[in-house]
Amino acid sequence: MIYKQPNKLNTIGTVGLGLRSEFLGALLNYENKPVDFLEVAPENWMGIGGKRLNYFKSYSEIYPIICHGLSLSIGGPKPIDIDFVKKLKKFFKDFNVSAYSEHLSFCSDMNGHMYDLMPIPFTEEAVNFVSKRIIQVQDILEQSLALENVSYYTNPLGEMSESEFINAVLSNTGCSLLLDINNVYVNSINHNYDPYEFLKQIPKEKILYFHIAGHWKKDKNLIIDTHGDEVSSPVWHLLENAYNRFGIIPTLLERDNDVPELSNLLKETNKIKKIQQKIDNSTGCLYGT
Amino acid sequence: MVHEFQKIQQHFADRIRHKDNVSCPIGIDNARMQVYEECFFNGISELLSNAFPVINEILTGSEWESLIKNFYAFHHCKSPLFYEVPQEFLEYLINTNSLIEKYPFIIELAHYEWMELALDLAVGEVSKPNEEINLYKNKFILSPLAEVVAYNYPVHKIKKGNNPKKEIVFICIYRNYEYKVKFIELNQLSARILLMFKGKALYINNVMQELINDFKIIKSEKFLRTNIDVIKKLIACGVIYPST
Repeated sequence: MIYKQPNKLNTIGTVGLGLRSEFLGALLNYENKPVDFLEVAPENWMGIGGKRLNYFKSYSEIYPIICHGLSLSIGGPKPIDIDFVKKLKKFFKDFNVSAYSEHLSFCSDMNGHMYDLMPIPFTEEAVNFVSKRIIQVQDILEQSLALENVSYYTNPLGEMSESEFINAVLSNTGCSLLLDINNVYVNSINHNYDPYEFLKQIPKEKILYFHIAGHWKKDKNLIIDTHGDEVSSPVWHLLENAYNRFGIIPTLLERDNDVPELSNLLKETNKIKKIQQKIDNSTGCLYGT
Repeated sequence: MVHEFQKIQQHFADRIRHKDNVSCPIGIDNARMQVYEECFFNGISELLSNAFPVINEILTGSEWESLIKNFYAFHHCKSPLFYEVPQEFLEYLINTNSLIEKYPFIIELAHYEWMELALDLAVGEVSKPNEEINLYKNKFILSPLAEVVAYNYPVHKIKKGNNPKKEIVFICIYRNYEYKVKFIELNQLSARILLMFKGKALYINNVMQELINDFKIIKSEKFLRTNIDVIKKLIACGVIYPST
């Protein structure tokens, strides 16, 4: 069955931040919400109690929450963990979660969880396999899933291009796309393609929201997707280009390593807002003339 | 049925788990494979060093590295939840007795460090202790967020350069009403008293009478005074509280 994309994202605002333990106290102290929405990995929050749960309750009362999963292993070899998906469903309901996104990758083998993301070979067989699993998850959740284009460092058995693979999965399943702008850039360097051309292959109507993050340039031809630094200038340019192409789409800043003071992260979320305003104004002028 | 792409996937995962014993899958550049090997290892090493800071501190760098590598290679983690990885690691230590000869206390230390995490995230609430409470008109019960543990080593005192001597210690680890995880060192008797309150509400007088009978105490006055003081302290910490 095809599920409607979560229409709640029309009302969550346009700038978000990934919630981290490092600033759990600090962000709550702001009187005016400095960002519109927050994102969490459900695998770090579901089933807990204590002070951490109280923080989460407080945040979920103030901010719209998106869940961005890490352990579903949509491309993994073992059957979907149905019990886990049911627990996710309850968690989303309990905290009025606006949307659920995951990674178009796999993070477990036949022996168990590996807690990081591996690339699914871009093949027709893989498209069919993953599509069936996405539909299975959507049927349990009774909502559509958003899948993220992941950063990958190698492309084994690559029968098709990344964008062909993504598009095939999107059209087979009715799921939506979490377009990670940083990953588009990282992959374009690591696999030597034009990131602007890549954006042209992405169907606008499938995009649910954007991610943006920093990376580490290890050498000229290799960038590591660390989420451990400020967003780099080519990624800001690509974001601006994406807004021009797709319109203003809710955009979330991720920072998972070397997390700085919250005020530094807010400078970056403010920059997202500024770029959005700039596009908004220029579009306004265009329509006005 | 195993698809062609799944064979590659398993080879890829095998290589990450056992990079010294599994070849790089054909068609994949070694340097690119190494990105995955390093990212995966560093991620799990960081997660576990945050969870087990004392173990991380006392092991040499190469001991820690090979412990994490072996855990990652051979332990089959079942939990999708990241905060349960420390429990998987504790299970691995218990199952394999890794490093037990050099560090005979390592499993108990890991258990102690894991307990701190588990209590920090445990579901449940405890209320603020009421020191005015009547000790004799109320029944009391052990907090659900308190655990009484006996260790063969003083795990709470271990730090680098201070290898502990074998010595049985009784510790109560608990979370208080301010969400802080704390511990109290107990003696054998106070540990026993606490455990009597576990899961069932009792009158303090009945507990004392049972002990007096068990130990055949003749001069019960001093015994009572000492142990009522202990109980008062445990009530003040919120480790036992009046059951309603």
